[in-house]
Amino acid sequence: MRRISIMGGLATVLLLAALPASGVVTGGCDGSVTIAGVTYGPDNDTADNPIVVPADKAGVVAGWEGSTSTPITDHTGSVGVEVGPVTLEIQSWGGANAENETSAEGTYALDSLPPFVKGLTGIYEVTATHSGTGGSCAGSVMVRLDGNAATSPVGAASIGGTLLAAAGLLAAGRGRAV
Amino acid sequence: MSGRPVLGVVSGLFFGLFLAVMLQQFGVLPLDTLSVVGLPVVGIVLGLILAATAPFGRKS
Repeated sequence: MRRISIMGGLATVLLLAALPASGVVTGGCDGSVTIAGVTYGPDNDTADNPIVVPADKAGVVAGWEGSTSTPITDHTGSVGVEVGPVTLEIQSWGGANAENETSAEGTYALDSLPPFVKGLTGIYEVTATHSGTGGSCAGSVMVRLDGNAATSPVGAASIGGTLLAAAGLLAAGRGRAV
Repeated sequence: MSGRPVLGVVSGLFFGLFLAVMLQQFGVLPLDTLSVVGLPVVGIVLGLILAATAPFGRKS
């Protein structure tokens, strides 16, 4: 399980939060992540109960821990973000887990997030899988990146695009001169 | 149709897509299949209905 640490970065935090067993998670995995004094787990899988990531704040450190019910060796896995019917993979990993470990823990400084993440806000469905000899896990959580959507580049563009398209819809409903 | 169906379809498509992104950015809905596919379809249907009924500024 130590090899899970090679996943690194936010992917590790999100994976270990996504793996815990819940109604939509398969496999005997468990885990949690603590951000800004709040501990999140398997129940944070809805848009109104997400894992809140203050990506816009400096100096925040997330603590994470995760476990599997049995050692999973020769494992591979990935974590991705759902965009419609497609999953965009953001991290993958693999390892032997020769030590037959079943748990891991660590910390991650949110300051280490890629710069483009700091410009994003909103709610994201993050899915993860981890499988190998001895078992497999899969699951998903909701993650909310804190920030002012109205002033973020993507948020502002979406507002402008929505208004422009709405104007097009109104124009389409105008009667033509006969 | 007394309105502009092509404009309605194109505008409805982009209205749905931008609305899906806006709702995601404001933390209302994730970019799941329902929003990314469903909202543009609703937008297209809305555009066609508006083009068919042309309720705004009808000229004679």
